[in-house]
Amino acid sequence: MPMMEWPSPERKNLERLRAGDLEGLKWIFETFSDRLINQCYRILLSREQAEDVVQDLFVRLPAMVGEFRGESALGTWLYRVAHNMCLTRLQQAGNRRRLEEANFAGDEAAPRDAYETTDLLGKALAGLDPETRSLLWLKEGEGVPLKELSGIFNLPEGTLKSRLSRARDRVREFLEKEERVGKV
Amino acid sequence: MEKFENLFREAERIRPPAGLWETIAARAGLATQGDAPKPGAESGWGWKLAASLAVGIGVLAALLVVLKPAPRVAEGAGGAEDFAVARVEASPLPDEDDLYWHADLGEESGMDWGEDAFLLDPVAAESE
Repeated sequence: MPMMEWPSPERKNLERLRAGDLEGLKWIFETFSDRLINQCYRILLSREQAEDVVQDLFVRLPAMVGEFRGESALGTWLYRVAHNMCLTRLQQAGNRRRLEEANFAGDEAAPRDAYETTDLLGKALAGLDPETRSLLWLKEGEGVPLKELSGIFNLPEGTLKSRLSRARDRVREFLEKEERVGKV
Repeated sequence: MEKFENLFREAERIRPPAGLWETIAARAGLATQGDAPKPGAESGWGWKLAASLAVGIGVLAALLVVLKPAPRVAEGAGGAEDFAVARVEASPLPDEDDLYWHADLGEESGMDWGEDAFLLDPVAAESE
């Protein structure tokens, strides 16, 4: 796969980072940290944990940047790194049980007070597994195209479409339930 | 469908906390282009030159050890063989009179010459 033609500032600052220049890292932080912290927030459902992951990501980025082969956009790669770091964090925190048992079915959704979910979306996402939360947020919240999502999740677009469809259905069911009890 | 779309449109978006960049910058261990090199940091050609000099000195030292002439006896020899050679070389040549004196008495010489050049066959020596 030929290397993509990056926008000039992205390429320039990536090269600066590779050369150990802090200004390169700063540009990447200023450009992507907002999106990354929100992605992490929607996966981890915790502001504090999202901040930790983003801090870790950027501290380690100078060492990791050598692994970036330029086959995708830098933002796509960063989304993928953040996604993987969040899942690792959840596993390390012993939340594997939640990954297996998270079953969006009305009252049996994952306990919402286990997370810092302050908005309705957070409550809706709490009933999904972390991977699906990440997928749904990136697609609906950040508008990431399906082709890019395929690179982030390393899954075919068809598979992602199916997962997104199921996730949307579940969120709509949640909203209808909330509306019935007068919370929406 | 509208409620679903509004859910994301109205979703809370958090911002990186104040000071996060400063924390990252302190921990990342990078320098800006205008900064002076940090102590101990690699400075490219300087380190290469020092490394080359160290290697060169090491090679030179190794060559000197290999090519160093065998030490003189007065300086002390190392191995047993060297010591034996040094002992023989350092021993003064016996006086011929001393040799014959021992022979007359029937005593064996205190020196163990073995079959060496000092006990020359007088006939063979004359014929050379």
